[in-house]
Amino acid sequence: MTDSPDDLRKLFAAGLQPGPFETESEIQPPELDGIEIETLLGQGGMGVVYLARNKRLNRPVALKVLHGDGDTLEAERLSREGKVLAKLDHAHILRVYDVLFDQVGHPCLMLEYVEGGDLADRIQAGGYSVEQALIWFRQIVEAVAHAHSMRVLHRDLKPSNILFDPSGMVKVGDFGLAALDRSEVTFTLTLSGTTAGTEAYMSPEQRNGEKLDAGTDVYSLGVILYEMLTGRRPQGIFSALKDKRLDRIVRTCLLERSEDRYSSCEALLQELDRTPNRWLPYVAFGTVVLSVLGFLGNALLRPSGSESESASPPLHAQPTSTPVPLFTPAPRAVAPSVEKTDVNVLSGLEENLADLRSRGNWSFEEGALVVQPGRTSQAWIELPSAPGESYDLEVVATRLTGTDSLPIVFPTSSGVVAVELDAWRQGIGGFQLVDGQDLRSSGRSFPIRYQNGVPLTVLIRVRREQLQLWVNGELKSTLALQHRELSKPGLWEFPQSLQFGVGAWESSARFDRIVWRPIDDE
Amino acid sequence: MKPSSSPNPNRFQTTRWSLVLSAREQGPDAEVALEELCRRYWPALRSFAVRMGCTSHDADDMAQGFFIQVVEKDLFARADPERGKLRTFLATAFRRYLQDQWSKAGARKRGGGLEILSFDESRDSQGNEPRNALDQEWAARVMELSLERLQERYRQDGRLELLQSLRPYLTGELPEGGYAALADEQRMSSGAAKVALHRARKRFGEALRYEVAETLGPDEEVESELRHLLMAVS
Repeated sequence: MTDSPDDLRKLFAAGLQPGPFETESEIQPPELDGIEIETLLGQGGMGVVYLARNKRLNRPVALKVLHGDGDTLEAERLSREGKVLAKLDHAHILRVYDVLFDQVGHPCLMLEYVEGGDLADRIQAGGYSVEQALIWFRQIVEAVAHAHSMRVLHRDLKPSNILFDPSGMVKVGDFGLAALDRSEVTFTLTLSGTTAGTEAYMSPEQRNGEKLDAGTDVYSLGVILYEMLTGRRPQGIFSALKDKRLDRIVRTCLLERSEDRYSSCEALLQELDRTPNRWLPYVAFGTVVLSVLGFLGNALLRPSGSESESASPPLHAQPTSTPVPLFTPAPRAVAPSVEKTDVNVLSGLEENLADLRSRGNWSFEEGALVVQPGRTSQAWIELPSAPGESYDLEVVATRLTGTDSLPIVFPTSSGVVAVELDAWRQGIGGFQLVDGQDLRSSGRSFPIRYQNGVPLTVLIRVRREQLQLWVNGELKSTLALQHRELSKPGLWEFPQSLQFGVGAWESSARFDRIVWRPIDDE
Repeated sequence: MKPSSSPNPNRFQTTRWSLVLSAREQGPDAEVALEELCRRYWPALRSFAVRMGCTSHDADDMAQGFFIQVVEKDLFARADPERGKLRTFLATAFRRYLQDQWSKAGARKRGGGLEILSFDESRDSQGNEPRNALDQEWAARVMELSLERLQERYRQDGRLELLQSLRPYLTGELPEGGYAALADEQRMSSGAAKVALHRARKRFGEALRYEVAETLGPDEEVESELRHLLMAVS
């Protein structure tokens, strides 16, 4: 194939200096059927990541183009192993949707796209509570435990691989990619890390290129936990954590020999379960000093409540025995006995209506809160005196015109969530968002429609461990809160700090009754 | 094995040096090793013989005779990968062999034997052999082997045709009309053409380094040998 001395010289010159050629990120993105590349998100040792759109499903996806030689055997292996990763279906694992090959046979992973930032950013920003850190950490460990149960090691756990969805739920990414990417050159690049940060999370056996087991991820988890709690990585002789139990957890994760660490992520979770959920003060990163409870205001995601001592969110709540609803549900509006503890939200609201944050036209008519559609599709109003984390809430609502949902937004121990009925113009109802999923995709919806002019009575029983929903006396939904992240539906433009409120989508409606009753479930 | 720009103490076990080591043993393995060495480097030695003044036919005989004598006289007995480049070793051995042949031929010529130039006659006025002659032939052969390796990779992927289209541009030059022209030719988008050429060049660089690494001792650097070969052909 060599043509001439001049050609030979040029070939040697080109072969000797591959540098002037474009790097992967500078060349055009891959072309894939049904995928529209939107922009370059970033690049690293493993490959290049693009934001793309799955045109068929009309949803954003992340597309990771792996470094690799793309030959046939490699392609087959990637395809096979990528499908294993695609089976990692867990609320806290970033989904691998598919393994694709571009126009020249280069392998690409189609991933779930989330845009809530990563843990590295949150650690750097600081200002979160120890409790919050432990909630995140538990979600991370659960994700890794699930992967291990599917015989997948992560091998590259670090804060920048731990993402958040918009509701604040952890999504661990890049599972098993280190295993996928076995090409010598790339692996060397990965090991050398190009940043000191990567190596700081590696177990001793991984740094030494030895055989790896689940212990390697446990080690990385220990580094991450320490960094989350102190803002520093545990290197050399590092300071002990003030909480002795947490310090022991970190140090057990970081033991030199894999067999001396927690034998599994489940063992680590059990140890976390044994750890009390109230923490001694920690000196946080930067200048913020965290104290024991409830003191950081908005920095804490926990709903504000009157009973601050019991409002501390349970890290590892256990399911309770068969629940008994406070109210005896009836086919129409329930008239609970008027007790001193009941809080009638509508009482006295009329005078303060103008002071409440809202969108749309809200007014009072005959003691009922009424909304007329405004210039925008959505109307909502923030209600005062938000309940704590254990209470019963009763709302009697009537849609007057329109065809869509009337949301009820309320706080729980796992985040602020909404009940929506006759939602998405699909006649479905239930809690949303649950683990970032709306009613259409969470698998927890039930069929229900408003008949305009006919009131529906909604009873919501909120406990630390679970939520239950009755409509017109019929139990429609029960949701265990353990390991759940609840959040407000994204389409509604509620203020971030809104805890309690009602709304209407392209509808007029009347709320005749909004009452909540605090419950002591200790 | 991946090419490496840094010395690798274990490398010679899998390089062409191992062929030399095998070739000096006895038995079927030695024959296979010698055959492979012959296939790979015979063309370079043959071309060098031509440059040294042999006719095409005689150069064939010389190169072939060299490998036969390797077996008969155990020429590789002292081969030691620790001592450096396969190129240097084969060149030294082959030069020595040529000299021997020329000496014998000179004797025969006096008796009416082989019609070739004497070894001394091929040298320039300063008594040097044609400048870098063997290194140039060696470089050409290494390049051929690299391109064969690259071809094989594309053949296995069923994309040999694509490589043939990209081959003229491995030198770093772009087709007239840029990627768009290449894209038209290949019936692909301009972006795809750019990706394809980028990867072909990257793979070519890998293949070249692989072939060069195969000829080096444990303490030799691929990049250094590559630079030497570039100088030889410049």
